[in-house]
Amino acid sequence: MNSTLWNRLQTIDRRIIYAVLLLFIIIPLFIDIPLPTYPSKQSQDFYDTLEKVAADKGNANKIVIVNGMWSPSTRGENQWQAEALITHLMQKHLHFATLTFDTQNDTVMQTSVVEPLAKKYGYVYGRDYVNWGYRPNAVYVITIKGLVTNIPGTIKKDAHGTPITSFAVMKNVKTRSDVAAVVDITPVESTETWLGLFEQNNSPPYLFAPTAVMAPTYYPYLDSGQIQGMLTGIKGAGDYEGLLHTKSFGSRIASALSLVYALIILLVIIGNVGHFATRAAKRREAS
Amino acid sequence: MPGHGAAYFGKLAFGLVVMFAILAGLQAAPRRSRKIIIAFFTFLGGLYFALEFFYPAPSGENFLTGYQPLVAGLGAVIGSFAIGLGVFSLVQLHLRTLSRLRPGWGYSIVLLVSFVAMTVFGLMNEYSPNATVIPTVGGLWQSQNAHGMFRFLFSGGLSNLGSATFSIIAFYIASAAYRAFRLRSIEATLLMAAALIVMVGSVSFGTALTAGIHPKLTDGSENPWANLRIENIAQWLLMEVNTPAQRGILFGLTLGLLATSLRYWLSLERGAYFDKEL
Repeated sequence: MNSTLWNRLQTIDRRIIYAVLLLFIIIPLFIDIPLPTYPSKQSQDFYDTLEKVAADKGNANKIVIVNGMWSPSTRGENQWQAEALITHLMQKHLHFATLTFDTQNDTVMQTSVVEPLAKKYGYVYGRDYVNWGYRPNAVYVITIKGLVTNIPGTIKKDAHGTPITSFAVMKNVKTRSDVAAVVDITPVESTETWLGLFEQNNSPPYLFAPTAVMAPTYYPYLDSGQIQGMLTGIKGAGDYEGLLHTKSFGSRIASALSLVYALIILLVIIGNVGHFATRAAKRREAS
Repeated sequence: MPGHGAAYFGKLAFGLVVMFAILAGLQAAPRRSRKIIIAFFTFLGGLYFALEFFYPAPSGENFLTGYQPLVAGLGAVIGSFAIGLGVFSLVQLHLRTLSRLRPGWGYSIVLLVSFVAMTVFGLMNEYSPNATVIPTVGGLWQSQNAHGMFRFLFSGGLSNLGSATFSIIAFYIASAAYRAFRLRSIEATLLMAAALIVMVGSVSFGTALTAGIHPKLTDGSENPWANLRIENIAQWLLMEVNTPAQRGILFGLTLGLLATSLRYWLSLERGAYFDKEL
């Protein structure tokens, strides 16, 4: 092969890369590619922790707080994590409360995730779950702090303006000790506040569902046991769906991600083959 | 959801008048006095949080804990005024661009129309969701109420635009990885090897590559060769190599954050937004 060909390997037109990438993303969404799925340890821990929470009879009158900091921009990852989580909570008949500090999250979380699943699993608003609604990000810290000792006084009203004490699901929920678990679905930093101000001796369990790009930053908290399970981006959502035996869109996107990673690796290898071959050819010419 | 009724709007109007009076008073005060007043209230706010956190609370609460909802409410009010200031600046900037037909004025039209539409239909969705906003016109289209219009703008527009914008990053990452990842040095080689292992180990096709190595031996004991499964190597890299590095960064960041917070609290910070007027 001549050096021009090696050069071409290093300079593939970006439009070709974009077109191939688009195909690699779209095809798995329409054709089910039977790739074997192995849940990561963190996804397995996430699932196991909620299974333990559900199995504990003492949690029957407690709630799981689902904190959503995501908006439509990261729904490609966070929505499927949220969907798998809410499915699990409903399958296990765990009561939960949704809370958000992002202006767009409440609408997308309720209309795309909670309401359709509530219909499917017969969950009744106020009896089985409640929407604490949106709070401005300016009061994020003080709200989390307030939940420790006074949940009704901190939240006061649900997303529709109804006092939360009027709901059956909130009847026994007064302080942190009435919370069975906290699940944080987020594309932004929110963990430290929960761990620093809300958690006490890793109780209640804190579970984390970040976007994939954030995940490596939080391994120290996994190592210390402060985060007791983590869903890493869409891979985590796919793992979770697999563990729940409810494979849906998250699993398909996880397959697409698998192919996209394969393509990126292939492109990197091609680029490096071109790079080394060109360098070798130049050395030969020089000698 | 905000409250309803004349009493609610009366309280809202009163609150706005009081806040604007405070802001006007601050603006009229001599610069030195204004700085002292702001520094005093900044210190007071920080003092509450610090005392509430550090003051002993054997039963989980101390004498300051009960004021948390009040402080949260005050924080929300001040935060809301900051949003108002942001909106004012944004609209002012784009109106100026439009009036002078500066380059990119078309984008300003899009921003202003989108802003007004979302604000109007967002408020109508809260206060009169069933109000007809588009009447039926012959066989062309059916009537639409405020709630439907808001859903159309939010779910059909904003939500999809947000997702699409974020998704474009994937294309740039693929292209950038292809162009930038070259084995030019030992450091680059190590970085790329780690990246590839973690990438391969975290997706299905990668884990399928070493799925033939069974975690258990035929006698039920652990298979030592299972450590060579790609997902286990990736996990080792994340837990044993990444974690200490991240922990070190975290310590540094936290110490820096602590020092900066202290400077803010004691009004020692200098520069834009502090002692310099923009």
